[in-house]
Amino acid sequence: MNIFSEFWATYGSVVQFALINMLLGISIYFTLYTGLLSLANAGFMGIGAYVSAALTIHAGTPFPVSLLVGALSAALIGWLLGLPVLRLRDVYLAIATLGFGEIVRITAVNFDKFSGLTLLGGAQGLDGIPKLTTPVSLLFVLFILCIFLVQLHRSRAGRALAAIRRDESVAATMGIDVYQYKLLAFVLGAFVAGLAGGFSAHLTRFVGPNDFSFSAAVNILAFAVLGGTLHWSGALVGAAILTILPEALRFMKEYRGIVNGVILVLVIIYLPHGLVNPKWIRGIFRRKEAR
Amino acid sequence: MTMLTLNRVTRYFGGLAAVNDVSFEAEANQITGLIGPNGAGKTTLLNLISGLDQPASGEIRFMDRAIQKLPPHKINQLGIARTYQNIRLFAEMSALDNIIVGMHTQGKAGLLSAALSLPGYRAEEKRLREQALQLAERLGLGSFCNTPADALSYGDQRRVEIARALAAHPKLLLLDEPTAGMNAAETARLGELILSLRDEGLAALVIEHDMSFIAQVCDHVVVLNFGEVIARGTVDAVKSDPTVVAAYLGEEEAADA
Repeated sequence: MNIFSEFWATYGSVVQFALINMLLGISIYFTLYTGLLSLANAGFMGIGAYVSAALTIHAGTPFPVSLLVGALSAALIGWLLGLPVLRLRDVYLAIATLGFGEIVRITAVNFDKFSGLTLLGGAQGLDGIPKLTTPVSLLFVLFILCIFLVQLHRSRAGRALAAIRRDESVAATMGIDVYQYKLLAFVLGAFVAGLAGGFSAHLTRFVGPNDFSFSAAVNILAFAVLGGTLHWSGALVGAAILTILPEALRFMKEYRGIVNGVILVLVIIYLPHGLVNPKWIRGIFRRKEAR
Repeated sequence: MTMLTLNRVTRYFGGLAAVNDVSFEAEANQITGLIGPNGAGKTTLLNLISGLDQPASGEIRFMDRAIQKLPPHKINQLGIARTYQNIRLFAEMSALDNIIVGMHTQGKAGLLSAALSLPGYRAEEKRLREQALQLAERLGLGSFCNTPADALSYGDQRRVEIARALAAHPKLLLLDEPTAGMNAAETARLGELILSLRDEGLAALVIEHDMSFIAQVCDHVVVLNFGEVIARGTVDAVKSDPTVVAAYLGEEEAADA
């Protein structure tokens, strides 16, 4: 066995979890970038996971179809949810979206059989999902998303989102339909969270209602807070670190949770904008140009 | 031709009438000055016209359309753009990007064509960028295009804001104290710019404390005090109006003068 396959045998699943978490980081980045504090992403992930897993198991659809339908379902629910809740702001929006996450979880707990068919598995969850997620498929989707983000930020829609985050009323007096653009960011976030849910279900081979609880919502938020929301790569960095750190700290046994928390708190105190600051990135490019 | 008509517009804050039964018109192809002591309700009026705030009663008509219930983005799309008294630029964005954001209504490329970088999208971006550069040049911002807005001097920030408002190709420009923080030379240049824009067909409503600037650019002046219109007319007529003098200097001094 060469070094790579040895490494992969031990850490392969961690890497794939990190990639899925990067998707979740991007999903919350869409809303945070627009200045929306939404905690619905765990719920959207749950919808994507359940819908795609149920399709694969009961309807036998190919993996890409299950994945896409799961993500589109999350986006559709996101649109329906966004219509009323995006009238809210700040902490009120956070609470409303947190409530939505609980609705998804409780629905999953109580929705076990539908006309005699074990559809979602209720409180016990849905198991026996075929393992169809591959590192290549994850990397492919992540790559496409990164290109999309780069293009988005250069575009008219991306500028509108950035303007809304900085000053909503000024954006509105410049002809930007603030509500519609918030809805767009919300639905994009829901779609990507749904994708992550589908990948996760087909990686762990299990979907349970408790995977999408309050703590999952907060974890997703932590990816973006740690990495920063001024640049999309922040969400990727944050997700990677918060996935790998607990594994890297495994030698600390029962103290690793504490150390993990301390590191997070230190970053928030000393780097309030997160680990990735676009000014530094621009600085690096400028230095290169000067040479 | 009348471009903007305010008809008995009233706005209360608590029990205080910040704008009380205000009526006036702003003509097309004219610069209308809006003056008055601090707290007279000038900025409130601008907020009402631009849709950031709604009047309790009264009607605001723009080009024969009632706009007092429209949201701000609709009002901008109809052709009203504004600047702010306390500069409200997108701080970390470059001066040019601020102007390009102001061109939102000038483009129509959707998310999909941007994501796929279709030729239509690329052509539109190129066109917007060129227009933004021209506008920046015209306002004397050519050398600051790539500077973040918050690194610019106060006067330059004001000009970026004006450029950002002009980027929407408005028919009516609302300026809230455009010369505040500018030196005499900058103020004079801004006056010339506003006059040249008027000659190209733009109308403007200008809040300003600098009376020489008002005299330089305004065709017509409306004087507000405690939320009410106390005088209107040409600059010279208004300046010698005893109620206006009293509002600015107080009753006794006015009597002495």
